[in-house]
This record gives sequence, C-alpha cells and structure tokens, in this order.
Amino acid sequence: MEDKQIVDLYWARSEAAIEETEKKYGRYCHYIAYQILYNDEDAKEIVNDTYLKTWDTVPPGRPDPLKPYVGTISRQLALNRYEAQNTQKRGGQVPLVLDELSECIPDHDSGIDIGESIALRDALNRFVRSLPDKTQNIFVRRYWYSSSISEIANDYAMKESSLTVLLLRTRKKLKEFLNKEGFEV
Amino acid sequence: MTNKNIYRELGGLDPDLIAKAAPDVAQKKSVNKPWIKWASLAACLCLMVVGALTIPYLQNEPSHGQGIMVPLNTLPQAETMSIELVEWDWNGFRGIVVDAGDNSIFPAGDELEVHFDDGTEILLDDGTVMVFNTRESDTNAIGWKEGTIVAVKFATYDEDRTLAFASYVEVKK
Repeated sequence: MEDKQIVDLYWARSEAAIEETEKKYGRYCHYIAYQILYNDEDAKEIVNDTYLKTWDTVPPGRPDPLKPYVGTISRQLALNRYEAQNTQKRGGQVPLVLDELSECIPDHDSGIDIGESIALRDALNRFVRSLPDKTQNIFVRRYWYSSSISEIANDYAMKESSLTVLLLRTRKKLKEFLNKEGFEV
Repeated sequence: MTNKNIYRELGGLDPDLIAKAAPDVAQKKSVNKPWIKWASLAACLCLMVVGALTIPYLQNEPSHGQGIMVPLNTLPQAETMSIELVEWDWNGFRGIVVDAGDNSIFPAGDELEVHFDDGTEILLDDGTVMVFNTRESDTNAIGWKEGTIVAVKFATYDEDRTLAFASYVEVKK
C-alpha cells in the first residue's frame, strides 16, 4: 500500500492504518530500535509504542513519506528507553557510536538549551548534505541507524578497515565543521 | 554540548537523508541469540591472540597524533600506476587499475580506493598544483570526470590491498 493511502487510513481513524504500517515498516522500526536497545523484546515494545505515537500524531500530521517519520519515532523512543534503563551494559552499537562521536566533542557535562539544540540540528543537516553521496549514506547508517561496522561494510562491499578510515575522516570533518559553526568543541 | 547531544540531535536529520540511507531490512534479522554472541566472542578472542602475535599495526594518521589502528604497509620508495576513476569521494576516489606501471602491489584489473592525505599533490588541468588538506580541500574542485585515467604515485597502502594513499596524482597523458 502506498504511504499516502496508509496516512489516509490514519485520518479516517481506521485500525487498518496500524496493520498496514506494521506490514510495510514493522521490520524497519524493529531494526532501528534493536540497534539501540540490543534486545528483541524491548525492540518489539518500542515498535508498538511507535504505532501508538503515530496514531496520536496523525492527524493532524500528514507525513510524506511515512518511512522516515515512523523511523524517527522509533529512534527517539528507543533512545529514551536506553537512557532511562542505562542499557549500555547490554552491549550493542550505542556505546561504540558514542565513543566515536566523542572525537567530535568531548563528553563535558554541559547542558544544551533548546536554542542550541535547534541550531545543532540545523548544522548537522547541512554537514551531512555537504558530504558526497556514498559517504553521506554511510555516515547516516552509522550514526543515525547505529548499524555495525561489519554490516555497513558488507552492504557497501567495502573492507572494514577502509570503512573505519572513511568514518574517522568524516568525524574529523564534522569536528572542524562544528568548530567553524561556533559550537563548543 | 556532549557526544550524546550530537547523537540525539542527529535524530532530527531531514527525512530524505534518513530514507536514502535506510538498510534493506527484509534480509536482516534482529533477534537476540545469545549462543551466537558467545560463539562470536570466542572466535574474536582467538583472532585477537593470533593477531597480537603475528600482525604489526601502525597508526594510520601520524600527522594528526591520533587515529584508529589499521594495518598499513609502506614501500621503500614511491611507485606509480594508472587508475581509471570510477567514483569520487570527499577525500579521494574509487577506481580500477588499468596499467600497473612500476608498482608491485596492485595488478591491472584490481579495484581499490585512492585516498588523498594532508600534503597529497594534485596536478590540476590548468597546470597548478593543489596540495590536499583533509580539513579544507574538496575533491569537487578537481573536476576530473568518471572514466578519466589518473596516474597515481603512492608509497603507503593497507594490508588488505584495497586502499592506496596517494602522494601525487595527475591525469595520465
């Protein structure tokens, strides 16, 4: 079913909207949640919560496309649970990803207000868009989807060593970019 | 601001960027299988012991003082080969060796990535030399199209023989 038709079902308050979302994006949302929580049961709960939140927000929203919309919800919910449960002890990619990102900025215990949050989000979008296509996709796979190095290397037919070097250099570029943008690094 | 802020705010990436990079999850399973985890851990431990005993590692970016450890080799003197440019990246390009020249590492037909490092010299079409700077330079400014045959001089390459760090590049005449 096309995304527009699924969204129409949400607007019609038809429960078929949930069924169709699950059919089309259930595995996608589960993947995102699992990469963060590293637990199948927790990931399933996040996916169900994703359907609920989508039901609550559509309408008034009319997301187009629907995939990144539900994906973003899954990511946010999974991150919230991760931080609440201190799940890093289970393993998974998040501790590794955070460790890599700490090269861009050290883990000072300094807060960020909503203005900085919005500015950072805008800057990150501009940075990612400035990257060449393949590097862009690989960066998003690693730091948005939290996919493992081995999985990304396999999907892009790269050696893991080459991929690691590519990500290292991209993180350095990100650090320089954030410095130029005036963020405290 | 912390690394966690960056990780969380990456959640606000534009939908088209997220959608474009999405993995093909139809083939992937995310079920927690502890026995696979323990078997993988045992295999990793074996590899680590073997690796520590037999493989010399060099830090790959000495000019920056820190980096990740990847196995690199350095030739006693630079060697040259000709590569057909297949796809640009921000710090180099992917290509196929069309003429192995005097190089002893990459035979004709090999696919590899050519990386530009700080100090890589690039002879541009207007006769000027661009000295690559990983913090500032942009391969978009070089202007060579896919299919161009590029002469690459290098001395450092990765142990897997998929990556060459160029010291000098120019369009092959």
